[in-house]
Amino acid sequence: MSKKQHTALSILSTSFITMINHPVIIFPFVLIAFFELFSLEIIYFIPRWPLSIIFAPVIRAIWSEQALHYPFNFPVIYNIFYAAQIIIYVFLGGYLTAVSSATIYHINENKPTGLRIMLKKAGRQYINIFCVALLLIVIYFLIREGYGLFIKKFALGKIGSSIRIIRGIKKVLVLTNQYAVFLFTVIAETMLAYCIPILIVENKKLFAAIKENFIFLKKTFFATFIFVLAPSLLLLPLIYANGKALILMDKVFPEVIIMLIAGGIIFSLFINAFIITVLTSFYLLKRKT
Amino acid sequence: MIKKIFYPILFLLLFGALLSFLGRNSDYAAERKLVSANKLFLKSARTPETIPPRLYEKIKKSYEKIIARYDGTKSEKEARLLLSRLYMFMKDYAAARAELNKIIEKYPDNESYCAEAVFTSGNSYEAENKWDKALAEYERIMRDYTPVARALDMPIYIAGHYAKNNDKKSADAYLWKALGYYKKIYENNPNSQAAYVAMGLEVTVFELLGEWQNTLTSIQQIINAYPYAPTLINSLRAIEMIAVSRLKDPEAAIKIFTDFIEKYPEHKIKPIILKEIENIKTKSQNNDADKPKS
Repeated sequence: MSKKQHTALSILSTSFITMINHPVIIFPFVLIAFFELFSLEIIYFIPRWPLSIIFAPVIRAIWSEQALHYPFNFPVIYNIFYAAQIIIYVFLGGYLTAVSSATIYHINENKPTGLRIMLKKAGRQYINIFCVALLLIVIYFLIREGYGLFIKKFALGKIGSSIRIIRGIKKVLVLTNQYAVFLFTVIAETMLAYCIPILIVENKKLFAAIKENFIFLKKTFFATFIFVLAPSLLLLPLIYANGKALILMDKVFPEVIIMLIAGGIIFSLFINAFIITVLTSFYLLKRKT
Repeated sequence: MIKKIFYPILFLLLFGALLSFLGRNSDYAAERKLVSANKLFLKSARTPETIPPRLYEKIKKSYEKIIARYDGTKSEKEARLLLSRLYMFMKDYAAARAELNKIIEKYPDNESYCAEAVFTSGNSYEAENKWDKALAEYERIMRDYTPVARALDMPIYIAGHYAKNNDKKSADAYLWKALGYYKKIYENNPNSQAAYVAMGLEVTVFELLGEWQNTLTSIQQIINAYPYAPTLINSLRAIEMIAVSRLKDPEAAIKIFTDFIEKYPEHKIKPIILKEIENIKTKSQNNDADKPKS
C-alpha cells in the first residue's frame, strides 16, 4: 500500500471514530432527516383529508386528478419529494452541514461544541452557505439535464444505430444512466467539497472561499474524490432499488416507494455526516501542515 | 443526544397517526382497501377451482366492509360491482344479479354505474347460456342509458357475440340496426363527446360490414364536424388507405382532402395535406405508367 493510500485510509478511519465518539456531529444531519421525513409524511397524506383541501387543487393542476388516487399517487410522490428535498437542502441542508463542520472544527480545537454556539457560528455565514448550496443544486441540475439530453439525442436517437458496436454502447449508456449521473454528481460535490469547511474555519467571503477551495483541491483532488466517492458508494443499492421502484410497486405493494425514500433519507444522514467529517478533518490536518 | 433524536421521531409518528386518523373515512382510504381486496381476488382468480372457502369469504368480507364503511364513495360503487363479479366467478349468478340490482336501486341517477351494472347482469346471463335474457339486458342499456360509453359499445358487442357463434346474418343485421342507433345519437347530441364517439363507431360498423364508400363518407363527416380533434391525422390516413387500397379510387381521397382545405384554409395541418395530395397523385401516375397498355 502506498503512503497516499495509507493516509487516505487513516483519514477515513479516524474520521469514523471521531464521528462515533462525538455523535453531536451527526445531530445536524438528524435535523435535515427530520425535515425531509416530515415533508415526506405531508406529501404521503396529501390525497387525504384534511391536507387534500389545500394541496389537491395544486396536484390536479400540475399533474392530474389521477395523481390524487391510490395507487397512482406514488410515482408523483417521488417528484414532489424531490422538489421538497431541493428546497430543504438549499435553505437548511447546507446550513446544517456547516453546523456539523463547525462542530468538528471546535472538537479539533478543544472548544465548546454546544448546539447554540454552532448554530450561531454557521449562521454568520448563512448567505454564503446558501449560495454554495444553490450552486451545487444548479450544477446537479445541469448534470442531470445535460446528461439526459445526451442520452435522448445519442443513446435513444438514430445516430450510429446501424453499427453494432455503437448500438451496444448506446444500450450500456441507457442501462447505466442513473449510475453515470451518480458519478458526475460525486465529481461535482468533489469540486466544491471544501467550500463549507473553508467558510466556517477561515470565515472567508464566498468567492474567496471558492477560490481557496480550488487551490486546495489542486493538491488534493484524488484524495478528496475518494473521500466523497467511498461513502457515497453505499448509496448504490438504493439507487438501483429506486430505478426498479415502479416494478417493485406492482410486485410488492405501492408503499414500498415510501420505504425506499425513507430508507434513503436515513442512509444519507450517516453518509453525509461521515463525508463532512472526513472533509473537514482532512482540511484541518492539511491546514496545520 | 438520545432525547434529541427520540422527540423528533415521536413527533413524526404522532403526526402520521393523527393524519391517518383524520383521513380514515376519506375516498383515498377506501381506494386503498379496494386495491388490496382486488389484488387478493385477482390472485385467487388464476385458479378458480381451488379457491378455499376461507379465502373466498375473506375477499367477500373485504368488499362488504368497504360497502358498509365508505357509503356513497366511488370505491363503494366499485366494490359492489366487484362483489357481483366475485359471485359470478363462484357461479352464484342470482346473488350477482341481486347485488347489481342494489346499485341500480341506490344510484338511479348515476347512469355510468347503472349501465355497468346492467352490462354485468347481462354477462351473468351469458355465463348461464341464457342469451335472450342477456340480449334484453344489453338492449336495456341502449334504451335507458344512452349516451354513456357502455351504451355506445353495446351494438358492436352484441354483433360480436353473433360473429363469435358464426351467425354472420344476425351479426350483420345487428350492425345495420346499430347504424340507426348511432345516427340518432349524433343528430340528437350535436357537438358533444357522445356524438363524436357515435360517429367514430359508425365508421367501425361500416368497416365491419365492408361498406367502404360509406366508411369514407363517415370519416369525412367526422373530420368536417371535428376539424381539430386529436384523431385528425389518423382519420386522414384512414381516408387515404380506404380510397387507394379498398376502393382503388385515389381521386376520392384527393377530393376529400381538397374539400377540407377549402373549408379550413387556415388549418395548421394544411401543408401536410397538400404534401399528401401530391404523394397520392405521384403514386397514382406511377401505377398508371406501370399498367400494361391495351
